[in-house]
Amino acid sequence: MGKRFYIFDRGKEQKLLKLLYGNERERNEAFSILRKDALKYCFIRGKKLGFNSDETSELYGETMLAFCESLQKQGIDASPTGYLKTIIKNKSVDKLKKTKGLIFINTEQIELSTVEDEKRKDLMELNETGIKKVLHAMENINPLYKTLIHSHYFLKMSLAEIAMGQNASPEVIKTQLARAREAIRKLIK
Amino acid sequence: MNKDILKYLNGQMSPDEREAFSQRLDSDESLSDELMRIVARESYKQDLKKEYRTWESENTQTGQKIPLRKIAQIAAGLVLLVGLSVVLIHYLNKPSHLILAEYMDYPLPGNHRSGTATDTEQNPMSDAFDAFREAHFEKAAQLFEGYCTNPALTTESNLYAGISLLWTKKRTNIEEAVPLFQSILATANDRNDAAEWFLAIARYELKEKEEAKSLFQEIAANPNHFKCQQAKAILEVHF
Repeated sequence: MGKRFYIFDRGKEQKLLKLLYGNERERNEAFSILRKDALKYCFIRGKKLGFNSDETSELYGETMLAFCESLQKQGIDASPTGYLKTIIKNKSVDKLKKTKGLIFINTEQIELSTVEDEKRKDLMELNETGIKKVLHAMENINPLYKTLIHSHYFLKMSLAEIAMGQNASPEVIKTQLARAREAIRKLIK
Repeated sequence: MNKDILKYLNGQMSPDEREAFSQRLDSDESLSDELMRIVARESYKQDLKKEYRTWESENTQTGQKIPLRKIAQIAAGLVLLVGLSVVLIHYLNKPSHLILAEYMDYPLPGNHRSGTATDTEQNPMSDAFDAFREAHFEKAAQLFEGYCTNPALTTESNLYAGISLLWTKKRTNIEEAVPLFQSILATANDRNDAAEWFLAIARYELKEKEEAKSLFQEIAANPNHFKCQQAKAILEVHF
C-alpha cells in the first residue's frame, strides 16, 4: 500500500523485536511475519534490478541468513523490518556486482570488477560440487536430524532449548545430534 | 570460514589430503563442529531458496495476484469515500444561516415579508407570494420560476425566485439564485437595483467576498440606490 504510517509501524516493530528475542515459539512467529515481508521485498528488488528467479532466490536466501546471524549476535535493536530492508538493499547491490560483473565505488560510480574479486570468491564460498555434496547429505538423512543440525549449528540453539521444544531430555538430543553428525560425515565422504 | 573445510567440500583435495583431513575431523571436535556449521548454513540457505521459488511460482503464475487484504483495503477506502461524500453533500445542502439575513428585507407586493397581504388577490403570482409569506421558500421559488415564461412577469418572478432561493439558506440553492439576478441585470429595468443588491448578498453568502465587495462598493457609491446606507454598513462591518 505504498508507504505506511510510521506511527502504526512503530508498534508493530516493537512487538516484532520483542518476539524475535523471545522463546522459540515467539521467534518462529516473528520469523513467519518477517519472511512474508522479505519474500515480497526481494521479489520487488529483484524485478527492479533485473534479476532472474534464481538470482532473486539467492538474494532471499542470503538475506535471511544474514538476518539470522545478526539476530544471534543481538545486532537487531530497533526496527526488524527496516533492518531486513537494509540487508536486502546491500545484498542486492553485492549480487549486482557479482552477476553483472560490476563493482560500485559508490552509488554514482560503477566500474568493471577485478580478477581479485573472483579469486576471493573461490576461497570464501562453496562451489557447485560443495553445494551438491551438502544438499545430497542433508536430503538423505532423517528429517529430524536435519532440523537438529539447523537448530543447533545454524540457529545456535542450545541442547536444552532444543530439548524443551521437542519435549525430550538434553541427553537424548545430544545423542541424536551425534548420530546426525555421523550420518552427514558419512554422506559427505 | 576454514579454508581446509571448503577445499574438502569443494573437492579440491587430493585423495591423500582428503584421508588426512578426514582423520583430523575424527579427532578434532571443533573442526567437526565448524564443518557442521558450514553444512547447516548452506543447507538452510538452499531451503530458503526453495521457499522463495515456491512463493514466486504461487504468486506470479497468473500475473501478480492482488492479495485479498489489499482488495479489502481498497473496498474500505471506497466505502469511506462514498460515506464522506454523502456527509459532505448533506452538510453543504443543510440549511444553515444567512450571515446577511438582517439585510434581506425587501417589499412584497402590498407589504413586507413579515407583514400581511392586502392586495395579493390581484397579483397574478399570488400563490407564490402566499408560499413566500408562509416561509415555504423552496415551494415559493418553484412557483415563481413557473411564471418566468410569461414575458410580463419574467423580471419580477426571477427576482422573487432568487430571493426565495436565498431564504432556503442552502448553498446549492444560493448558487442557483445567482444567474437569476444576473439575468435581471442583463437588461435595464426597475428591478436592477434590487437584483444587484441580492446578487451582492448571494456572492457574500457563497464566500465570493471579492465579487461581493465590489458590488457593495458600487451600491454604496450610488446615493440614489435604495440600499446605499446598508451597503456602507456592510462594508464597514463585514469587510
